[in-house]
Amino acid sequence: MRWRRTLLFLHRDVGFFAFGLTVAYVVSGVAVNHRSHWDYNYSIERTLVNVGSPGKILGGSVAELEAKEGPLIAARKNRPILVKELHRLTGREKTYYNAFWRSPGRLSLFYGEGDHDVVDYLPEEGMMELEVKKPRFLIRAFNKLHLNESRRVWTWFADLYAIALLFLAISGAFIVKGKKGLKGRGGYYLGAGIVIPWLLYLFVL
Amino acid sequence: MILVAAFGFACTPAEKAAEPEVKKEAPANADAVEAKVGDATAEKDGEEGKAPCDKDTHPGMGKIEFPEATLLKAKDGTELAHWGAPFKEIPEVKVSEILANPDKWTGKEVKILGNVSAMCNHRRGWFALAAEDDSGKNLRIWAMPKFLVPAGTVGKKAVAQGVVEVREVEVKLVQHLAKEHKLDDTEQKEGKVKRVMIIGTGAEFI
Repeated sequence: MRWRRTLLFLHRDVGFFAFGLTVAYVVSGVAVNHRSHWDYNYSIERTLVNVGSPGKILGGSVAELEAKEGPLIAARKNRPILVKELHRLTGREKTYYNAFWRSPGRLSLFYGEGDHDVVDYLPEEGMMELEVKKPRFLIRAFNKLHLNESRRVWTWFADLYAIALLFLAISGAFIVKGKKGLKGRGGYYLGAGIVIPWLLYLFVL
Repeated sequence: MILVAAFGFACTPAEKAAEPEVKKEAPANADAVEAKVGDATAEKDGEEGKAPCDKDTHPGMGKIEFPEATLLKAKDGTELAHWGAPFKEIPEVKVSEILANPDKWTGKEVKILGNVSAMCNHRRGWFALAAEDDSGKNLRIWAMPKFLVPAGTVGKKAVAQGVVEVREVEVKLVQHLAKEHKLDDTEQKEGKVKRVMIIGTGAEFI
């Protein structure tokens, strides 16, 4: 029948059109699916440096205070001068834009956007932790499309893509006829593709 | 083949489930020792493959009421982005005061100012303000469903308004927040702990 031939051509052409976005959505989907295993937006580079306790860094009265009350109290009571000294120890020219206690044992100096470039000082361990996050450009771009983070006009284009995918699914079911088509082997595969997810949903998830 | 190549390109460097060895050295002049760590954000707590933060929700979460920021003029004439509902004229309360006396503030709408110590990077549903007394304690503020926390907010200052609530949360969630977001931990190993939080209505990040 001529309609089958027409369907094949349309399936082919819509398939080519959907190729790029499908790749983007697949990469993004797998990345986000495994979000509990990794940070899909950033790779993290962490460096540890032993700089010593606050008493060792600042000396003098701070060392005496540390001997009496411990490194945490010594650090808290001398935060401004300690932060300046920690910054000097990093050897960086660019200064931090903020510094504060992020948790009871962690004094943080912020350099980059957000927490992309942070120096953490742990007074009880005498360690400085330099953490730099680098964006995964491609995955972030794919995620922005896949998760529709910008909304606006992309919402309509994404809807159009969804319709294209639906067309590919339906047309694909009818292109092949005979024992490999819907009435034969293809029908079994189609049924399995519907039944398996439902069974997982009902009994596993 | 193309799909595999695209995925491989996008996923460099290779992700690892466990943290590799990190060298610690004590050079006299504090020179850094390079210790590259992979994407060590594996979270094994809770259900396999499900992060504790996925279960960190509160009633009323749904459609975002204020999806866009409102641009306001600050006192010095600069533009300021305001997220969520407009601020009410209420006095400011210190974060340390709310943490020290939660019963006094529960159910009350408060205005607080502080440094943003953490935020939810996956859903942008909450952020935390560090106490101003250098104790390292934090107060979490739920942005959802009013607004989403803008990206790149950690390290900035923020003014926020919302209603104080005390809630029991799983120890595993607290441990997750400590490990992944560097917030204060708990000595308790299992069960639930009480945590003070704010159901936010609006915020500005400076």
